[in-house]
Amino acid sequence: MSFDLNTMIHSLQVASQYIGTTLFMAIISLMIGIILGLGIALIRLYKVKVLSPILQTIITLLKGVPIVLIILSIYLIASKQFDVWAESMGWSLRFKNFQMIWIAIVALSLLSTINSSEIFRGAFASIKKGQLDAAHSIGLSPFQTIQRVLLPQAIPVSLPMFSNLLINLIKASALGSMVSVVDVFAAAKITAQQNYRFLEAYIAVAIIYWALSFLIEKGAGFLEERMTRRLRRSTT
Amino acid sequence: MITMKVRNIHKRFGANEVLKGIDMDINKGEVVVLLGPSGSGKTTFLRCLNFLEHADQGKLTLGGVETKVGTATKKEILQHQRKTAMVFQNYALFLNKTAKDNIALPLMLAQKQTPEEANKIALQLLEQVGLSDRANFYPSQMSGGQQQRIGIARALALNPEIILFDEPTSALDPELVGQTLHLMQEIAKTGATMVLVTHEMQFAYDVADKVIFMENGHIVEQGTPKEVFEQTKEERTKDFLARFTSQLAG
Repeated sequence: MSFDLNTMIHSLQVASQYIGTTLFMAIISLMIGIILGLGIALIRLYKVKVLSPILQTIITLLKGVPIVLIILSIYLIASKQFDVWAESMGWSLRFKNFQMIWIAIVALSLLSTINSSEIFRGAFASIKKGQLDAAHSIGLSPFQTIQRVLLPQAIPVSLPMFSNLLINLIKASALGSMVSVVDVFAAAKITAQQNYRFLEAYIAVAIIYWALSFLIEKGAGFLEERMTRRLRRSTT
Repeated sequence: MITMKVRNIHKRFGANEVLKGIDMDINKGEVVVLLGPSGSGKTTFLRCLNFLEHADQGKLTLGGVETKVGTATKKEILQHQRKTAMVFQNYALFLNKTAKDNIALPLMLAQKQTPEEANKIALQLLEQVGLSDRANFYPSQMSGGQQQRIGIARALALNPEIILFDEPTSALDPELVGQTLHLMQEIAKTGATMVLVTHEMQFAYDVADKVIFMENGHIVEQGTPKEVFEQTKEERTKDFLARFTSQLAG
């Protein structure tokens, strides 16, 4: 089995033009996940009646399902049912006009929401009860407590986990190719199909994913260092 | 004049009834010290006074406003909490705020003061507790004694009707206890209404207007420090105090 460096470099060049698509999928779903995950974590923290146990059950169920199944299921359901729903709702949008990337984003957002809610829950749990007591004792409203006390302390703690989540989402976004999204992985595969040099293409893709992960981890480490400096050595 | 009226406070955790009907009147400018063995419910009682712990039944009247504990709405609780302040055993300063911001934050958020006003008051209070030079330090950069003095300043800033102290010196190194007690004595002199849970008997003897001995969720005995410490009526109080006589003699 031969290894052709030039082919690999060619794959690298082609695939790297799709870094934008890969990052777009990962970052949008990270942001959706953070917003929804924060909401879920707060609902669970404040033990909101009815909603809290329902969300807990849904999360437990979804946590145990591989992301591949989620993407394929969403694709199947959407391809069979979307037009029916759209018609009954009176929308003009049809499944065939749908950009497949949004199927991948919905699936990745689900993954990211579940993970974010657990990350926030852990971060909230790491905040000592005294901080919330203090906020109550001076008469802060729940919203003020969340905004001024809870989040400023929870975010630095959760930053490393969110950088991990982003890396996981970038890697999981390769599964978008299963619903015909052209991302880094799909683009490299397409170059390989012309000359059957798959190994070169895969290695090129690995290099790109590795470089992205490396940069994200470094960036997060830098941010974390800055944010936690003053919280360190905390006693209460 | 009565600042706070407490009537028939009950609290249970599961099967364990911690407070079995507490009644108390706290007069304006009075310093009330709660004594009792651990597990007697004194900290729980203190936390019930500002709804950090939600009592099961009873009535709290603060500044003329009566709140029925069992049916209190979130708004009533918030209104009640904004008239009280608390000093915690573990200081509980906001770790993400500087000393000055810890004091200014409640002024801005709970009392809607402008940042300028709040900062001015914060700096005055820092001077009063002798920590002007620590204004821009974070809690993690200060000693326990300094943190507790900031905690006291934060409580004072709100100018509350009543200040609750939950074992304010228990977590401090022995050599730092004195300065904190001294500061509390100064505050008592300004006419603040204070309720304290403490094991500092000498402080209770010197500063308190009223001493209350609690055991098993009941008030066993109450009176002036002289009455409780020197003319003790109840056996259980005597037993408890006997363990501290050496401290009082010294």
